[in-house]
Amino acid sequence: MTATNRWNLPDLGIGVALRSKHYPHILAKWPEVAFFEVLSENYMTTGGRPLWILDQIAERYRIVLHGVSMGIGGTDPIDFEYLRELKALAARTKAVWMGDHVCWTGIAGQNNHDLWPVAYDEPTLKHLVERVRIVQDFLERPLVLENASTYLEFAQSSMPEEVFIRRLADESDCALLLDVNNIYVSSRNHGFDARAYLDHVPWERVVQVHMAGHTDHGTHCIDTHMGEVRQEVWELYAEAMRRGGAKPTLLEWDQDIPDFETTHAEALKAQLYLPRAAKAAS
Amino acid sequence: MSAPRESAAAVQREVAQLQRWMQHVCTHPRGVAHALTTAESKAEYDVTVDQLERLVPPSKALSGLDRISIYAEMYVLRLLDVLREDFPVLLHALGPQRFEELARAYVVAHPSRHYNLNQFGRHMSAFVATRDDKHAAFLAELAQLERAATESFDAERADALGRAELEALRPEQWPALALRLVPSARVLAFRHPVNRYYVDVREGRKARIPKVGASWTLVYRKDWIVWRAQLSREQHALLEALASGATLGRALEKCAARTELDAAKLQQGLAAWFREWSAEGIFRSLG
Repeated sequence: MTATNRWNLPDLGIGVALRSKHYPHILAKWPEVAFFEVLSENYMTTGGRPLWILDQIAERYRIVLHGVSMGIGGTDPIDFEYLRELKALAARTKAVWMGDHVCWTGIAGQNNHDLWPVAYDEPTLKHLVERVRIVQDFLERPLVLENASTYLEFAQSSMPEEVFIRRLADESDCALLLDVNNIYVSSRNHGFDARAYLDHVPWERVVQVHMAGHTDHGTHCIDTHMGEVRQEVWELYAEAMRRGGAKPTLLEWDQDIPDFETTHAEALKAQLYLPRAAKAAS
Repeated sequence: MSAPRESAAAVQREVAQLQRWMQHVCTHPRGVAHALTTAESKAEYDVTVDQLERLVPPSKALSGLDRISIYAEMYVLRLLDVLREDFPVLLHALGPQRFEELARAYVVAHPSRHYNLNQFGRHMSAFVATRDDKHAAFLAELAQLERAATESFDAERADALGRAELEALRPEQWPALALRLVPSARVLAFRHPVNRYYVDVREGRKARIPKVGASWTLVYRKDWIVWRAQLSREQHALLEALASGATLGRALEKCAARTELDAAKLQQGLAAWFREWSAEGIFRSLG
């Protein structure tokens, strides 16, 4: 399939996030899956069974790495030991790309194991651009950064998230992972227009798309990665693909995870929403 | 060249201020509203709960306090889940309520400092030992056993000494043999019958907190599954000596010098023990 990004990174098709519940099925059936996305930290600083299984899966499938602890927006010194481990894992799995989130995860050596929001202002932008450049130099490849779901905004923000991320990508020359569910969740939490958000997406930098279920509490939505993707999120996905062209798309399902076939079938629903030409090609 | 560096440092200070504040208020054990009254919070931004929305504006449905509290609640719940998963038998021993009290105190005392959550519980045994609980000594040992299982699960792979390799050794080679344990092996000594309690709980049998009674356990990984094996005092002494780096000859001398050990048991058991241990793959290959 044709690449649609400035790095000519390949269009991997429609993939599934690799989760331990599905190991037995994958190892027994070797199902036809376009690619797997691996949660990087689950396979770093471990020599146990998960890594042994990943080695086998990486021999047969294309892999992309997706992390949650790089803390690219953090202010502690960049953790080069973490980056060395990540780079080694990428080499081991022949990862097509690797990424993390536009967020911070802790300060003063603490890891809060969550994707905490940054202020969308000039100082934070400058800080992030500098760190992304350093990390990319070290990793020797573009970093693929995802827009995280957020549940608060900071009064000191001076620009909308989509403008901040566009400028971050342009000024650091990083790649983007567009999480369509996160756009929807954040739009509900902050009251912005999700379709207007898409106006600012630099499509030539988007190398992957995420889809997932979320939990709607009425007053706010939480990105729980639980349940099927909601129809309104599929519609937003269709709009995104119409504007940006088909992108490698991956489904995340992390709570009450169903069997592999159900998970994969949910991911493959993306085909229904791809632009006509891409649908025919897939 | 110095001006841009100063500027970068100033930028970092500004960004860090917001992060220090958010981490403090979101990880405070008494919640965000209370955290806002603390000196640490005021040192960054001197706002009361009524003024919080100067920093975190409300949405149409939620106040600023509600919104930041989402992060605070998720922070602690996530870490409690990790501890419940890593210490299921300790959870059983304490019951859900007392375990949660312990776990919440642990989260405050030992916030996570590593990206791999499997490392989060590494201080639990020492932490439990300091608790005001009449069973603290037993509970600490139980936490130590569960922690050893987590470490064994994650340990580096290593080729194990196989039976053929063992049998190929000539008798005169044995005394100078430096047998090393595979990284997943843990040789543990307890003042309570911890493994017996663990097995009873895992197998659904009624288990009471046991009285003092020495026990020895080997935790290791075979075929990617973590196992626990009960050891005799003599087996433990020998494995502990080998794990400390002694040659087999020196390890046996050390054991012989310990009057509490049964020398006859040690001598008679040796061949069978090594066959069993090599079958379980607990020694590194000599190659």
